[in-house]
Amino acid sequence: MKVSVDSDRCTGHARCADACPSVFSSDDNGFTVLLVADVPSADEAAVLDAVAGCPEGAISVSS
Amino acid sequence: MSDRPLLERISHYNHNAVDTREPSGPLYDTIRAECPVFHTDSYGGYWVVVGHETLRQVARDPETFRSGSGSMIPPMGVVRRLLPMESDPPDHPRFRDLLVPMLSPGQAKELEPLVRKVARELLMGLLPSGQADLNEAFAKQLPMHVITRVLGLERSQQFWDWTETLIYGRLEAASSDRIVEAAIGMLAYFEALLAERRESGRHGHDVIGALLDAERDGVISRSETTDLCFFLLIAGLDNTAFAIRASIWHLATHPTDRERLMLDPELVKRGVEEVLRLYAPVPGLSRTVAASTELDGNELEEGERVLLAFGAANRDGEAFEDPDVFRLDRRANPHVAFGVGPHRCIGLHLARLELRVAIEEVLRIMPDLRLERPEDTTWYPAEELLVSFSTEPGR
Repeated sequence: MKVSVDSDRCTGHARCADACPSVFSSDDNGFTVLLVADVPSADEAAVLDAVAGCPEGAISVSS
Repeated sequence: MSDRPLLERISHYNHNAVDTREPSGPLYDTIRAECPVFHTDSYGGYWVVVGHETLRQVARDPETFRSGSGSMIPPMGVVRRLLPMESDPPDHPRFRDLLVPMLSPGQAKELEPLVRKVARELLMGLLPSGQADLNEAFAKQLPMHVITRVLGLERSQQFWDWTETLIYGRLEAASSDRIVEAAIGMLAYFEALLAERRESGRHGHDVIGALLDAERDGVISRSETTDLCFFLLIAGLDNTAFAIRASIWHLATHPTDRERLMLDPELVKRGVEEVLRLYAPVPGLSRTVAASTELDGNELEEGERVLLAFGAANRDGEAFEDPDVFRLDRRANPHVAFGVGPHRCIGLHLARLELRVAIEEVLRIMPDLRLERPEDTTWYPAEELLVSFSTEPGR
């Protein structure tokens, strides 16, 4: 599973960092930084939660 | 088409009214089914958006839906703009770029020990009397401690008096003199404080210090510094206190949720999001249409106002399963209590921290709290919250 973040849409809610801290981190301003682009299989469920939970709809995944 | 009395009510809809604050029931079912974008003639007329997806679409388009003419319906009526909320590009990004780093997740995290210490002291201080108004004595006090520390102010009950007059007084037409008096009082307070800080050159390593640095660098003007302080104080007090009160009310009236949260404290974070979703402190904020546009089959004219009904959108069944149910098993919760898009709440990391710690400490110190008058007390409006509890701490 590949994950990407639309940085124009990201406004730094940091819900994704809460849902899956091994994949999503926040920079000093609170905007999302991806720690990996290829999601480890153990994190797939949490990343899907992050996608669904992003208030801006800024995260997408593809296989 | 359905019920004519309901359609009548929709045309006079008022998002501030007590009977529409709970965004569920036959009125909202009708709205969602038939006209999720509708027009009301209250307050001189405005459009209302209750759908989650449409709300996000509007909130993400500051070119078409502008904030500079005001975001509150009815307006506060204080002449000054509430900054940064009531601004548009190019000013708005200038304010955001300055403020967002000051209120980042990292900044919030550094405050956690203070927030916890204050929460514990407040609650432990109330314990011996076995009863308290947890709105006045806790929900309102914790945000006061936090926002004054963040901004760099001495705590004062006067801040709450001014804030309540400005926010709730505007809903009572008779209070316009009191509102103007409160605004003048608060503005004068800040102008004096800022003048003293400029002259003394003392840097408090707080938000006001950072704003004064930006002012010296020409990034913001003096009047903008005042307006930013004015708004940040009000916003930091009122909305968080509302949500803390609503959290405690929910714990007191939902023993199953309370027990689950006590058994599994990891769930408190989800509880915080469900409180925000179901009991959104801000029912809605507005935009002004910059140029005629179509929204969901409706023609919106330039100059018309559009209310983003955050509370109602948080109950949208297209976005949330069992939308009116507090569910601790919701792993994804894209609620819009903090708004979305460029104007999303700047204080959200602070607010979340305060809510989480407040819930944790109430569960730790007063786990058996019960409402004195359960039949008369609910999450809205934010009135006194009389509770009783055992005089020994829970753990």
